[in-house]
Amino acid sequence: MKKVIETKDLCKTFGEGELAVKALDQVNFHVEEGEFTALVGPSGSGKTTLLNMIGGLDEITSGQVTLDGQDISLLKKSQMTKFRQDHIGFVFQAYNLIPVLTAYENAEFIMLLQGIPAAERKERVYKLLHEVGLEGKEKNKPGELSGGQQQRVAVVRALAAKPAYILADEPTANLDSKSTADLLDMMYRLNQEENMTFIFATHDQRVMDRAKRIVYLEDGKIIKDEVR
Amino acid sequence: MKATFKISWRNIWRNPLRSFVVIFAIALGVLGSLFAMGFMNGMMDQFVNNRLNTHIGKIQIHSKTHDFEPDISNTIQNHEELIQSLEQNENVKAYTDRFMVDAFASSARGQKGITLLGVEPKKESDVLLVYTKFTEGTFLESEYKYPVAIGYKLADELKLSIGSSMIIQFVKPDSTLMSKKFKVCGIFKSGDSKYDETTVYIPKEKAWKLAGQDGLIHEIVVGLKDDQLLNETTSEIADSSPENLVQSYIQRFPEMAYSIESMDMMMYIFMIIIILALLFGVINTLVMSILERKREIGVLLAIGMTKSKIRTMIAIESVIYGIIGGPLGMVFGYLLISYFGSNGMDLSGFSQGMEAYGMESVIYFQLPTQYYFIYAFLIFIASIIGALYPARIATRMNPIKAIRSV
Ligand SMILES: Nc1ncnc2c1ncn2[C@@H]1O[C@H](COP(=O)(O)OP(=O)(O)O)[C@@H](O)[C@H]1O
Ligand SMILES: [Mg+2]
Repeated sequence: MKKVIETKDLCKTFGEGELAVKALDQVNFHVEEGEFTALVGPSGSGKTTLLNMIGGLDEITSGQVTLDGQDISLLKKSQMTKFRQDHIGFVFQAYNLIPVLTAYENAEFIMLLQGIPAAERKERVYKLLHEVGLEGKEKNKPGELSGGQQQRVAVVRALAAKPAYILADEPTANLDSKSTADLLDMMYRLNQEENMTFIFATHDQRVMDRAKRIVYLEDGKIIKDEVR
Repeated sequence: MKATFKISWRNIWRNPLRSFVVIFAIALGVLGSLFAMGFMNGMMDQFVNNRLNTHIGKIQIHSKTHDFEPDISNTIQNHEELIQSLEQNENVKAYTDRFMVDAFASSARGQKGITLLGVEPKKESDVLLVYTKFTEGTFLESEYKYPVAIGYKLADELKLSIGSSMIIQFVKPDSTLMSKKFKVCGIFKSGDSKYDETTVYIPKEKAWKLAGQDGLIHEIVVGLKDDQLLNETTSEIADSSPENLVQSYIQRFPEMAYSIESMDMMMYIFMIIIILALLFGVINTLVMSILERKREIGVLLAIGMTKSKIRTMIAIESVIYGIIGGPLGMVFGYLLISYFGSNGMDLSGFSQGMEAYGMESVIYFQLPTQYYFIYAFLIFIASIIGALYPARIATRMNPIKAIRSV
């Protein structure tokens, strides 16, 4: 199996001197293609920080991070942005979408940045929006969609750009049970059918129940790593 | 670029009221400044060009000492030769040689010191435009034996109208006082009220007859075919007639050339001040809109929109404001200037002071086309400059922090 994420002795410290907070402490962690993994732990345990590090969004304090085969310490800031565009999909807690663009335009946005031809964009977006049950909502602006529908558009946006993996930070935090179940079903199906790798940071039991692997964090350290 | 433009365009209309306010402010600023520029330029044009074309001419010739001793005997030297060289000069379109003396005009209602010009209307009209400025009567074409053409200001002061009698007095070469009754045959309004108050035209042969001496020429005004060759032609004439003072209008009235130049400068200063003011409005609006969209910009950065694209996005937003607001202001500015260009703006309510400086109370607006293009170009450049600071704010954002802030 291909390793899509690998961290070696990863440390992340916020602040300096007495105020320094060690958010990640010597984290050795890897993810293989096709995983459906949840990072869990109490609030403040470092889930978001780890997700940001493997999303190439924040600078490493020490250690090494290799994403989709690339040692990211070798990338300049602008190259990192482009790397995220081509290799990493993001779904945030909420308000993921660009409010002035329609569901369709949001979904195709990364492909537009990638310079993918119109016909191909259209095909992928329609297919994916259909798959996640959003046909007929293409022209709706985010404000006209429910929270669950917005999160599904965000997943489609990430997926359409064909990333190596998708990172989702508390994607269900603002959703009711029905929407949560629907979103999880959808992501699970994409994982099964398209072998898309998903990594969640969550403390939502419903997400943990569906995860194939659960990584437990506490005080910036991995304390348990269980595959089910 | 397509993605970037799409977001920029939609962002403009996300808060339509705010965008309308900015666009309206730009349009109004441009309109207002164009209005002021059209006014100033029109006024200056009236003041300068009108004076040049109606009575100053491009080149003036006097005897060397005439400016210090404007005496009736102080005439142009070697008049015949000079005329000959004028006729031979390629660039001389026409000339008018005048009798010119300080005189005294009086009517039953008052009296006034004047400059008396003895002219041949035909020659005069080939060089200068006074003949087009008559509001009543004619330029000395009259059956009156002693016709006189006067300005409307003098007519007002001496309470004269067509057919009224006016006494003209001047000192003859033999030092006796000449006094003669003339009849007003025409009244002009030249656009220079000082001139209209103090200048009086009579036929040249009548002037000579009353002076008791023929051939008295005190001033020659020359019109050119090509005004670009003003300096060359002036020196050619000066070389052929060293005993007289040959001056281009720039040499004779340096303040006029200076005021044309300084008007140009003023236009640019004006444009730049307005643009700076508008720039602050645009920057303020963009910064506000970016701070409102912090989270969104964070998401854009996270999903891989590069900083240069984000900068472009903000620059496009700024340019859109300018591209809509600028031309909008220009179209209305142009219409306004055209309207006041043909109808004039009547300032007679508060123009007493202006008339004292020889300016007219009706201003005809005017603005050369080049200023519109320069203005449009400056607005475009300013829009891009206006985006720099807001773009800096946006691209300095840390995507993680930006996304966390709701
Ligand atoms: N930008 C930051 N500046 C300072 N401290 C931070 C910052 N981000 C996170 N932290 C700290 O790092 C630790 C881990 O935070 P986080 O990764 O957000 O935890 P979780 O997502 O598991 O709740 C916490 O103690 C938090 O206060
Ligand atoms: Mg968190």
